[in-house]
Amino acid sequence: MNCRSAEPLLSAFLEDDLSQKERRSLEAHILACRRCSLAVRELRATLELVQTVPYYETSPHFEEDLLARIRSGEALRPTVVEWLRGLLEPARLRPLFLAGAGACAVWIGVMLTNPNGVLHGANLARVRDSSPRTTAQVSGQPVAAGLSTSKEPSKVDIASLSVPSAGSGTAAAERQRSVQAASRTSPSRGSTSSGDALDESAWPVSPTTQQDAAVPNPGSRYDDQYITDQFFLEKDFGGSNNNPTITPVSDHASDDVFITF
Amino acid sequence: MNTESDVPEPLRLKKLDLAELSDEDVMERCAMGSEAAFRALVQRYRTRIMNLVCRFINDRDRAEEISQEVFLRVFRNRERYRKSGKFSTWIFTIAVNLTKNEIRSRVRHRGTFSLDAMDEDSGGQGVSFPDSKPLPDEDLNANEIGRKVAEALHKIPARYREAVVLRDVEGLSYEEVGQILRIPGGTVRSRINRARLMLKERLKPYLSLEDV
Repeated sequence: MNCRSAEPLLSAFLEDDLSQKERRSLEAHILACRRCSLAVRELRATLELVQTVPYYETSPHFEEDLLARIRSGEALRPTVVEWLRGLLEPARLRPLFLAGAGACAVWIGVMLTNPNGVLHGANLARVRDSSPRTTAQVSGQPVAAGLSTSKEPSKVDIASLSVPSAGSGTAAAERQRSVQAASRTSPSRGSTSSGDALDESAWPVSPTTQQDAAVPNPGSRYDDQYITDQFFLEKDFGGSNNNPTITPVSDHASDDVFITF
Repeated sequence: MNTESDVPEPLRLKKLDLAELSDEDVMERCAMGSEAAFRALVQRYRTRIMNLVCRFINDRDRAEEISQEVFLRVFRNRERYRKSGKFSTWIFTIAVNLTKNEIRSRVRHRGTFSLDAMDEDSGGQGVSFPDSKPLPDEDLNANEIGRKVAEALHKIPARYREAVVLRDVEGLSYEEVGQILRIPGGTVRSRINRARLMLKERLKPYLSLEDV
């Protein structure tokens, strides 16, 4: 043993925290080395000196201040770290939570690696292809919701497509004016303050889109031109049945109509 | 906070009995809401915590504030305390963590980013935050040599200082020091040895080798 290898062992030597072999070896070195012998004596004296370090007393009102802070509750609010730890600790310790988290991890792993899994790349591509398109993306095939892709004549529920009623331009203007007048006189929807029964035509109309506001003929009847413009010609639908006709759902003057191809 | 009458009957003890209980048992009663138990813990540990913090930051006023915060955290987290662990290790861990936060905060205000960086800035002389206020004479139980020892402690790097203070001043075991500082036993021994050698060099003029 030399001085360099003896130095890290000096503290342990003083505290009798060495193995027998290390101790014998170090003792032999200390007996032979004046420098290390002096170092051991100095180190022992240092340990004794450290014990003389002054002790400070807390202020006399330390305890009362502390208890006052506890009683007031102002000092008992948890820190952000404590709050987060409290939030996570029960979950971290709950075996069921751990089991569930593990099962989820395994499932995700299987789905990512299994070629037949739903999250595999090929399936993702399929999902992408079959995802619903916006009407602007549709070209040639009427694949939008509510439209059949079959060659057979199909019917479209106009009401479900949020089509505003159509009519002539002047009638539309008339109706718009009457609606605006009604909305001025009856500001709240369904208000019966005047004692009148609820009148649908008197309800304020809230045009949801610019298209709704610009309905050419918002009467109770539809015309082919409007339907065709709005749903087919404008979307550039192809095929032979690109000139549909409309059929009322019932004999009554209803807004519910079908398009017959 | 509850009074003694709120504590369950089997655990209701006279004040005199609290002094005979271990820290862990007193803490258990504190967790049940006993104010007397909490007071007993404060009385047992306030000086030790205060001095531990003082050894690290050398600012008495701030050390007292941090000590109060330590006890507030003990109270706040009393239900989380597990009796299997030593209470002294738990409370010292809280104190050391709060003190490290304080040192980090001071380092940030000085525009330096880490304690190690500060150690390097000071040329390995350690980080010290000298107390601007003189210590009252009645607090100085030791003489001038004791003051020199305190100075020497403040001048060694923080990571060595915390290890040697916990071991040689507070008298904790190597295992406890390792738990508090979250370092392995070998590192604890190495740091303590290095710290003692540094102190030896700084205190050489005050060593009385004749008595050894």
